[in-house]
Amino acid sequence: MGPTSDLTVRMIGVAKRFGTVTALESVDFDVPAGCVTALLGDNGAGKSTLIKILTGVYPPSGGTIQFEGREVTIGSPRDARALGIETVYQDLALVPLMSVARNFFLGRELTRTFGLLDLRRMEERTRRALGELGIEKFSEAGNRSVAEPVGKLSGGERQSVAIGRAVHFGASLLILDEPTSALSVAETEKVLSYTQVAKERGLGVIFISHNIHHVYLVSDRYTILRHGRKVGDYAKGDLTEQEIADIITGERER
Amino acid sequence: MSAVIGPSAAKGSGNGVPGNAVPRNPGGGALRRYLDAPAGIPAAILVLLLSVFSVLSLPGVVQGFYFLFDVRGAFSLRTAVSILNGSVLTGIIVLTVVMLMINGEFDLSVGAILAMGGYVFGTLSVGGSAPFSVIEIGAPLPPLLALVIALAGCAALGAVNGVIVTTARIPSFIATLGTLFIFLWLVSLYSGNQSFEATREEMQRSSLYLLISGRLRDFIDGISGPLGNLRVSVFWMAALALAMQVVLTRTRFGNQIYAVGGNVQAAKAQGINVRRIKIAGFALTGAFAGIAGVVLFSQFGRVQGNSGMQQELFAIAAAVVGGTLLTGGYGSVIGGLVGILTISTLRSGVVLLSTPIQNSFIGDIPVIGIYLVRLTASDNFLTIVGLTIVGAAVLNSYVRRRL
Repeated sequence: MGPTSDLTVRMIGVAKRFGTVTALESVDFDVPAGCVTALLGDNGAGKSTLIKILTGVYPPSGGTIQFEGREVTIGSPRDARALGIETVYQDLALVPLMSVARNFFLGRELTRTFGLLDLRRMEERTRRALGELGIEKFSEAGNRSVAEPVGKLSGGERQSVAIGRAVHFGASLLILDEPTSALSVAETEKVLSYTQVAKERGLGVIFISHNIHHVYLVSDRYTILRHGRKVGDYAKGDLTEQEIADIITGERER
Repeated sequence: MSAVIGPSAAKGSGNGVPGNAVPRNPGGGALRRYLDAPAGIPAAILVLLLSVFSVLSLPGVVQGFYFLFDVRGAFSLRTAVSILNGSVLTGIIVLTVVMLMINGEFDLSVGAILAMGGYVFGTLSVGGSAPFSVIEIGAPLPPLLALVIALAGCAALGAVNGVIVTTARIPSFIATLGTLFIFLWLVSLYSGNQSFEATREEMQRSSLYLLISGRLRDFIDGISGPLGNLRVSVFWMAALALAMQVVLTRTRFGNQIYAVGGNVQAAKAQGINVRRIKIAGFALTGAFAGIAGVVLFSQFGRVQGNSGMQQELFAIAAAVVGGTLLTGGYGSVIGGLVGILTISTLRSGVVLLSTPIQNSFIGDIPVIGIYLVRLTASDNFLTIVGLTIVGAAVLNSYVRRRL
């Protein structure tokens, strides 16, 4: 796997200006399928602006986006979702007061006669889908129930549900925005392992984190931004952890 | 997580969170599971109130309950029937107000919409003889058609609220405070600032009024006593509550109502059309306020501009007493009904307690109740409601935080 494999996303010359402020200046960004691409940069480097353009939150001021080889316009989060772009944020992806199964099928609820929710089937399928991803906690033998409200789950369990949902419903691009920032060490390892599951299933994965150690563990490629411009693209092994950190802060050029 | 919730009791009615929770240690903590159900604490408050009123109104110390139970110890149907009858209008409105609050919104304009519903239904079904300033009403329409037109109009007013809130992105509290007065102006335009009253004969021309809000004794021969006084609108309220419970906990629409109120970002990210859900919620609230207006007219044969006054406040009060979260995402229709029954109980209790004041002595010694009785003189009804709202909100949040 590497830059030669199929591209899930190719952004070419993407720019974003807010009034007189330039947040992104002609950035090229490729996300190959079956590959974890880390998007790195200090605060204000333009990472979240780039992601928000990709998820339809902001329209770009310039540039084009190709998704699985086709040129696309992503005008709203709904457009992004229709393309198969799923984002997992630290805390924003799930409704804490609703059950795991209801969250899993949110917006895709299963119904039976008279439009009534088929809760049993939703719970059954949630349990099975999470089990297939190696998330065992919700199985019959596990200590968690898919009928429990998400608010009772730990941070890592929530992330696993959100990632499991994205993978199960056939997303082709998974964006992980600071997925480990509030997790314990043990949970972080679990969540990092799910990124590998997603990758093995052929999804393009964008991994955004301030934790360079985590980035280094799971990523196959790095794209580093600074002050709204791309510093460069690197493959795993091109750089050491320290070198990545130095490029992000500007201690070192390329 | 702000610990607003624990696993709830058995699946089924009353769950504030749809489809939640098998307790992790089944068998353990029946009390906890009970308190976890959203209507659990509110129901406990209601029972407590009923007992307090019963005890307070004892003529002696233990002569039997006066309030819900008369001196012979029999359940006092009379009081229960009057509490139920008195709950219907707000009870219908609270069903959708709870839904809106779960969705993270308020509607303060329901009182004006209620009045509009009453006027439109009344004038169209009876036929206008009153001098309307703007709209001339001619011959009566079939009452059922009048009903449909009234509800459609009220749903449209509700939808206006929804469009304003979602388009201008202003808090619904402010938006609907504004539309409350705007809609009241529409009502006064429609009515020419006059009340509309039907004669007894006019009200007897159609059986629809009776079907909506007659008393049991109008339908069942030989039913006498207090039970005969029960209004059939109580059954309509119960049927609507059941329907709303199913809609909220067992349909896609209800699921998305909870999701939007619980975490609007997550809902959006899953492709839910937040704007459409909110507008539909406001429209449904308008329609239910319209139903309340129709019930009001059917019952009294009369409607006036201030017919729905303060309904919005009592509905929100009932929702809060019933355990609905002001911050959205959590609440139940059953809780809302328990809330309005609590407030109605207070109203009846306060009125009943004002009477037997002289009986509250044992010999020459006033029982402690008398001081409370002074406090509960019927003009202090609103004070008591206020105390209950604050108390219920504090108790709800306290217990939820501890669980």
